[in-house]
Amino acid sequence: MGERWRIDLVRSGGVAGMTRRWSLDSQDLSADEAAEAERLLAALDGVPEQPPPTPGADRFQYELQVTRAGRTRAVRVRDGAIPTEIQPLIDRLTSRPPSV
Amino acid sequence: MHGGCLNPIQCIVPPYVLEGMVEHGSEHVRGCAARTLATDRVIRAARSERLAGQVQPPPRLAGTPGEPQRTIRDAGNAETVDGPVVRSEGQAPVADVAANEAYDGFGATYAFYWQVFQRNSIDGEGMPLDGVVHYGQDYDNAFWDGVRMIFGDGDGVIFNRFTIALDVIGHELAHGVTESEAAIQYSGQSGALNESLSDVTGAQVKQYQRGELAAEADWLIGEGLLAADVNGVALRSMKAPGTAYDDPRLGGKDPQPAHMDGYVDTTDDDGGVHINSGIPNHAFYLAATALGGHSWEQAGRIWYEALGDPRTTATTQFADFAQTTVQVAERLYGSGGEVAGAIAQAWSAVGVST
Repeated sequence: MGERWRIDLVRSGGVAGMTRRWSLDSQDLSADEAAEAERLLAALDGVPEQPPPTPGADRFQYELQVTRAGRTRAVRVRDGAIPTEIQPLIDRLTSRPPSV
Repeated sequence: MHGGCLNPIQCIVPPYVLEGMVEHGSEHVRGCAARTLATDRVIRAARSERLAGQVQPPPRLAGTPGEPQRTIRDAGNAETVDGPVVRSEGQAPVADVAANEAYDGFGATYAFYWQVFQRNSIDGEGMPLDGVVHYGQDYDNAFWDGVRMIFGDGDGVIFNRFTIALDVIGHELAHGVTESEAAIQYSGQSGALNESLSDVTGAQVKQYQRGELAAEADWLIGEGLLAADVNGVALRSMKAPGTAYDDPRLGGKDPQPAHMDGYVDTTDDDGGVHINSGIPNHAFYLAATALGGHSWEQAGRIWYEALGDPRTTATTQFADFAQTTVQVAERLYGSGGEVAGAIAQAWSAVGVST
């Protein structure tokens, strides 16, 4: 099993303006699940930290924060312009009920 | 159209030149340039949408003033804007409730803008009203994508379908109007003003359809959108910001402030645009109820004209907009008059000085 990591996802905005949070901690996963999540996490490497300008209003905004070995990296993306390579990671996180 | 290259498809006149023509040209040239710019904006938005990975149907010509041009597509629970057309202008109601609600909501919002402000659609030039329903799976949102209005079905547990609330449909369409008039940037205090202008319009559309007086309206935004067992009545309350809901499944209590003292600094939600909108929302409620009658007769007209005022720009803050509303009120209803006084007092009550 690899080193411990944690990922926090915050979805804010939308016409309702309600913020939801999800998280995933490698310690809570089986070895298979952790390995699968690690593969999804790798997709974040090439994604810029700030989203490109996106036209419109009331789109969801996502902030993904990965903490590993004491280091944190945060990436912001916006609905309608989510890089396709990280969509599976967002789907994996939001497939369970949010913590709030 | 006489001579000149004003067909946007073949034309290579850049928008800033067209803008100059709108500003300084003869009446005829101004009209042509304005129409071209309007079409150009649609095409440019379409282009940026394609860059964002979505497909855009070709732009269509504007129709007869006073008559909307509505097209509703069904995304079939995918995150696409490209599904089949399920109802277009003039067609009878279909079996799908969401498609009919979007169609009727666009119609009610179009009628409000046309009958009250003599505005022909989003761009004032008859822009077609395109909607997408059944977007995404259990999708808890509705949004304006820069070209069209998109509605999710909701998850059915916390949120009902997003077409259920006429004021939410009006809210989304108004984002297009704000973009067309002033392109107020969607972040921080300007973004909260942009958001508030959408709520202000959505509330008026609902009240106009019901023929309600400002004093008898509920001033709720998104009534009916929260599922039956959620502890809340709507997404927001313009009458009493911060009281629309209180449920752990919604992240707790409605976080909207009604006064600058409660302004929230955050990086979420483009800088709290859906939170701090409570402040100008409440100012509009106070102004409309102080003036009496229907909200759209005086307060609504003042807000609408302030949006179209050249002083309202991408970076306009609450106080800038407040000052413009007072100046518009003085122009329309007399300097030092009761109306301008009521507007200034409404802003002052939420902690925004004019």
